[in-house]
Amino acid sequence: MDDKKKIPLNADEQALTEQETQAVEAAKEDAVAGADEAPAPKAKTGKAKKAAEPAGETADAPAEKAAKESEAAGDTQTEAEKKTYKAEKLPPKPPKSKEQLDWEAARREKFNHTVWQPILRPIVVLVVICLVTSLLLGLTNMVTEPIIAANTEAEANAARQALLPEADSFTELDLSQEYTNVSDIYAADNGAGWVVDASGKGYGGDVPVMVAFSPDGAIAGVTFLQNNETPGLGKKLETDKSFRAQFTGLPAEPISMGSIDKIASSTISTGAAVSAINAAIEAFNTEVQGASSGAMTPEEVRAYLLPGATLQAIVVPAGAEGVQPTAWRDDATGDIIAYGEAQGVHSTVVAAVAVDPDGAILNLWLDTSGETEGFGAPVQSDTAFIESFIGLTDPQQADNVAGGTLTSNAVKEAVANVLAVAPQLADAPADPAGGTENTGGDSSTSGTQTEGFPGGISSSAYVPYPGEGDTPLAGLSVAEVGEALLPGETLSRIIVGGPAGTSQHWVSDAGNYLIYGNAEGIGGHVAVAVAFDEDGAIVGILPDVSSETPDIGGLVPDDADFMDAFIGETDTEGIEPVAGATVTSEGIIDAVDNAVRAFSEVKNMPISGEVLR
Amino acid sequence: MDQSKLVVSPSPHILAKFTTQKIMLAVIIALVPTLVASAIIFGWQVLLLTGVTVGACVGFEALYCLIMKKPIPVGDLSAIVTGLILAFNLPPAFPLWMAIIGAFVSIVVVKQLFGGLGFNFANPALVGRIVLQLSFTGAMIGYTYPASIGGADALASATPLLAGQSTQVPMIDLLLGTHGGVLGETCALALILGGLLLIFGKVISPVIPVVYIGGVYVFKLLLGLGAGGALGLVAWDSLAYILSGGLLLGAIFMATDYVTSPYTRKGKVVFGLLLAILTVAMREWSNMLEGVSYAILLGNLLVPFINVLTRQRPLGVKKRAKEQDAGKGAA
Amino acid sequence: MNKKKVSNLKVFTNGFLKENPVLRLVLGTCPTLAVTTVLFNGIGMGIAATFVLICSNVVISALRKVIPSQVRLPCFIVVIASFVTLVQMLIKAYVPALNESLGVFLPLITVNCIILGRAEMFASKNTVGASALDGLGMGLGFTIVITLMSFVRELLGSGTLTLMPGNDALTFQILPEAVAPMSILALPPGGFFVFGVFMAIAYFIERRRGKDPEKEACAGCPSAAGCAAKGACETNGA
Repeated sequence: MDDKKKIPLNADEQALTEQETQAVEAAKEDAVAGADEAPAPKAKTGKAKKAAEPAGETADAPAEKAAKESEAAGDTQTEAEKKTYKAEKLPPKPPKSKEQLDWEAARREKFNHTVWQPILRPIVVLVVICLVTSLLLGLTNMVTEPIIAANTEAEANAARQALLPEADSFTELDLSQEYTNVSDIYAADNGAGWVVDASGKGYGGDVPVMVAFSPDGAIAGVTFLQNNETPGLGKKLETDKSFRAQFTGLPAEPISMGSIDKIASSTISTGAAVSAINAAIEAFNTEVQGASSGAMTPEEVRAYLLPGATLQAIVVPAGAEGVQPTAWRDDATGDIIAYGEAQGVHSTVVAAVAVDPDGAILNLWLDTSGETEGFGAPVQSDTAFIESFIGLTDPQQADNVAGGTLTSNAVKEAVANVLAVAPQLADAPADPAGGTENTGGDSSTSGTQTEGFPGGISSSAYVPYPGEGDTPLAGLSVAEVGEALLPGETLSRIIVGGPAGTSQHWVSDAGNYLIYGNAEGIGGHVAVAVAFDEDGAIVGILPDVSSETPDIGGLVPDDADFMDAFIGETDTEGIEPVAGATVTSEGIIDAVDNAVRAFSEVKNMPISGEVLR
Repeated sequence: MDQSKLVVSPSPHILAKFTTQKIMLAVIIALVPTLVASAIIFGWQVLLLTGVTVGACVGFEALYCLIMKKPIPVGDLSAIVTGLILAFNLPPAFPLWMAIIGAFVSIVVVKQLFGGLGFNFANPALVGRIVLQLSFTGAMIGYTYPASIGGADALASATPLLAGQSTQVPMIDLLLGTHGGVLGETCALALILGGLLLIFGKVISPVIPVVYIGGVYVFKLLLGLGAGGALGLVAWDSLAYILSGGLLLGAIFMATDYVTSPYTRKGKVVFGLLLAILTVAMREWSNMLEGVSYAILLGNLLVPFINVLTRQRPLGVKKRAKEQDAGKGAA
Repeated sequence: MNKKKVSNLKVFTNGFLKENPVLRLVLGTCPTLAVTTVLFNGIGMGIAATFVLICSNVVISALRKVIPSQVRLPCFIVVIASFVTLVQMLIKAYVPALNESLGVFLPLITVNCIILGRAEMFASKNTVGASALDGLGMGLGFTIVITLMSFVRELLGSGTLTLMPGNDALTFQILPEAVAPMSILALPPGGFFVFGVFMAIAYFIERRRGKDPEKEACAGCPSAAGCAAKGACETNGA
């Protein structure tokens, strides 16, 4: 600082702090220097700058002015007070020069350009806009959220209602466990049944399905919800009524792919649909029917196989191939339970076999859960298959399950393993670690395989229509029926999306067609094999009335007038039922009618490749 | 010098023997055996379908050029070839109106809208077939079961590929074509005959068909051996494989289209191999029944790149690059 | 910046043909191709997008002097997104069928280039009233085009015309059941093709009206105002 320019301080100033004094001195010096010389030197410290500003104004009273300017310059409280005090005590500063003002304006401008415009203002604007919009959205949400929730609920309910028309409202059940493919189960409040939401892995994502179960445990209906499958193929799941209809009335047991008619050319989508339905069935059985999910405990299995027995654990001789090391024997009767194993398609198949001392199979329990879904896995619940073993001494004589040949063979192998070692087990030593158990229960409960079965329910097993799958029609296989109605012609099976009410669709090399129609008679299922020529005119029919009353309905096929009435017709209009056997006749007429209606769909469909020679 | 002996005339000075018309005519002649064979196998409706398709193609081309005030190129017979090949991609009982739509797509959309012959981005008949496949899936796969030939017992199965087991259809039937399928797929003999006609007539280069078909055979062989089959069985199976489906038709008549295939021999080899890989991959691992059409389409789209990559280097270019590098290194 | 005063009517009708957002400006092609498979979708999407467009245009125009240019894009997006969310909530509450039909394309209106494009090209430089009209015109142009496209694609591709999905009374089977519809039109390749045909028709109509888009280059190009490569098209050979 230049000594020469120093202005002597008066007494008031000494009351100020040292710093203030210096700042004021510097400011005074600057102000004076500014008045004499041209450009004002740029003040280095912020404080000096601020102190310099008040010195330039002359209009207002020093104190208020200082206060205002402090505010404008953004000073803190204490600084403002200091300035006010300063202004009161100190003499008014000389007015700022024009250069000073210009310089200050330039500084403000620079602040605007460097800080406010590029950084602060955008931030402020953006923040304000975000706040306002958030507020707006929050308000709208408050208004619409309850409506949306109610909508979703109503929609889902409407879908369920469509499946179970008798139900009034639904309540969601609490599930006892997590299911991978089932999302929820709803029970109808008036006891009209249940609806399960499930899904399967399809070609383009999930294939969601709603399965409705009626109070008696059978499937009341199935709906496929929106999926992303190929349009025209898998997407038809959503709209194809005849495909859906196949599932109505089926019992809540795992459905195998071989037993349903698929949608043409969409194996994967159909497979996903079926596995979704099976998942729903399993969840339904576990949650609603109370059947234990997963495998039965070993004790339960043994109790099922040989009820009312006292079993002693025995050791299986080493070297016995394909049999688990621990088996059980009822010393009173000599019956043996042993666990045979064999390699299936994907997993080891286990067969728990109860064998009597003569080597005949008493009962059988299977675990094929690790096999292919829809093909080999349901073998374990296939009643007909299991019952075909009972009484056999050679397991190879049992029939295979359609669509699960390899798994069936593995089962037979496992059973054979047991039978091979059974004679040795009669004298096998007791297993000290195994102990004994009483299987309890009475032997009369060893009824149908489906009781207490994994995935089984206590209702009666599904009875196939005559001619369905491998079931014979009137005791004849498809080839034999074909030979009877269309002699000398070779049949090829047709791929078809399952027109409801029919079970077999074949075309012959001469251009004729063979379709099995299904209907109900007085005692159960009635099926008719209908042969058509290429224009849809009936050339022959072969009914199966085995479920009907033997001397009433069972005699309808012998009525020549009735049977001939069909020949040459393209529909069943005006055909009179046989007097005295109306229900059976109507059943036959319905079955033929189903076949007739299926004909137009079947007529131009491609062949599957299977040929009967 | 005796000036009068020098002849002065404008170019062209060397004329190739082939005009577009002659080439197209050769292709038509090569397609005739297949037409005859289909007609015998499937019946007279084949001629109707083919006639309608060809007529529609020619008609659309003439109509389009009339509307757009361009010279009518029908005389170069390319529309007829497109119509024939398109018809051969259709099953015998195909509705005629759908065939007409296919003809429209092939000629107007793929060929004319892009600038006419020589400017199409893919084989017109091929794209027509693909569009029809996507539009009318049901009708396209509704293979009519063929009536018997000359009294012999006819076969009762769907197309060999559809049935999934080429060996189910005896080889003789694959060759003679007495099995289900589209018009042009079935009679392998007729197709091969047509192909030989074109090759010996120097109309098409044998590189693409040979590399394509051979490639498919080899890949299928390798796959079969890799899955643990006996050589003899796998070799026979692979032979059946290349005789099934639209491979012969595609390899001989569609992949060799001048406009949409590479022009250098190396390019043709690359193209053929690419098609072989794509076809086998699609047939084996995709959800589609037949891989040839999409494989050829993808190949067509890649042809400009194949051309660039396999362009023959002019003499001296490599040397120049080497010199440049050497020069840079020294400096 | 040329401040040619354009009449309000012209601003409104701009969006119909001359600067139709879909066919001439080629904006908003994603929803155009994706939702035009069903007639109901076309109408619904058009109305939703128009509403968002008008609202966002108005707000952005009102704030055009306040929003600094460095953050204009984030600001525009926030405004647009909030209106889209609003619309989505309203639709979910009052027309749930539309929400299901449109699915993910409803929230995707946020990035519909038409809305952001008009905010940038028009609303940020013009008065509120003009922007509102522009929004209305563009929105209507968009709606008309996608409705027509849905009509064609659904009619020829599926044989039906659906005014309300799930409601059998409002779903019409136009093509007789025996006639197979050309399903490729309901698939993406068909969508592109129909789109191309519509663009060609718009171009053709413009040419007939005497405004040959090809010959006029920048003068005839509707995107000229917002184009960064001015004049480049001319040199590339129009």
